[in-house]
Amino acid sequence: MVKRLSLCLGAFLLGLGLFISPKGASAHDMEDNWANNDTIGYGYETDGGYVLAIQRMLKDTPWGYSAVDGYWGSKTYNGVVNFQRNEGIAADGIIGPVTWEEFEDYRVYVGYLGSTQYYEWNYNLTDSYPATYLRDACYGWYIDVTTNNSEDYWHVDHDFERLTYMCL
Amino acid sequence: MKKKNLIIGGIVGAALAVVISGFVSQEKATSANSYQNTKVTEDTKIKVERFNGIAQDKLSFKAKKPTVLPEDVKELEPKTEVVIQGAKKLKVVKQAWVDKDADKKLKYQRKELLIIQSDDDGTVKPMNVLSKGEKIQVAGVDAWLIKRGEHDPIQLIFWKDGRYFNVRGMNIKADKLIKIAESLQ
Repeated sequence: MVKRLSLCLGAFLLGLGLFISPKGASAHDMEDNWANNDTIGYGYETDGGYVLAIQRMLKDTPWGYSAVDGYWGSKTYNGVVNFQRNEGIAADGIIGPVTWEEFEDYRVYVGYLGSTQYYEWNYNLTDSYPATYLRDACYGWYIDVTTNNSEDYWHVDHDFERLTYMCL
Repeated sequence: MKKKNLIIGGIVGAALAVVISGFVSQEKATSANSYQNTKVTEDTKIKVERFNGIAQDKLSFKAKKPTVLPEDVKELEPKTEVVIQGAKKLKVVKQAWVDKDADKKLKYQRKELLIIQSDDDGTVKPMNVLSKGEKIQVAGVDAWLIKRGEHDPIQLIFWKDGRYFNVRGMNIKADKLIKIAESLQ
């Protein structure tokens, strides 16, 4: 009886471990469906590629108060609150599934470039330098963090990782 | 004794979980590494040349314009882009229209139309995007209609005559967007 119980508990923990470990063991990269991205903001993830992406997209709105440095602070928070207000959703400064979907609404596929998908984030339709994304078949999403056409792509996950290799 | 067995069972289970998840991660990494990688250098770096207006001399196709438009909108200046990676080029035209009184409205209340055309011939399609849409027919070809909520943008994506089209509307109904797409000439 005791053996059975211990086996059951072991199996339960095995399942639990399989469910939890892959997320904790490696950085959770940006998803194709942005509603599945990790939550960003105070009390959640507050630095790295996700924050770079949010700050860069906010630069295409009137609320790009913060530098594109990958560190969450009051300026980024205020920018997100204003973005949420203008999207007609709860303005709590937390980027969870609903807010991620609102950001994704402005992501537009532009075309295929040999080995990568090329996207633009078209929020301000008069902007000469909209945020651009590459989706590489190997490593996922990269965002150009510059606002002046100099193209400096960084991987969108919880680390700070510049694009150095592309897969073919 | 019972407690001891329970603890041992739990530890063994958790250890197995870590080992198996590590194996799964390794498999994923191996799979990604099976692609051929190229180092990003000045030659392979993505560059974008941007021009105001429709720079026809930079394009390999004649940019189409819609003859049907939403009511009470004004046209914004079109943009031309040439996205370059090494020897590969993607030529893009973007045209946009917005509410005449857009400045008085919050973003989600505005009427907006954005039409993107590029010389992507659709040989490789972004299935991660298209899988979210409903497949319909527009102007005699397959098209994908991607929509979410009432005030959220609707995208109509299709390839025709070796060219890619994305007709994206905000606060424009789907049937109107289809008419706009079919009027492109």
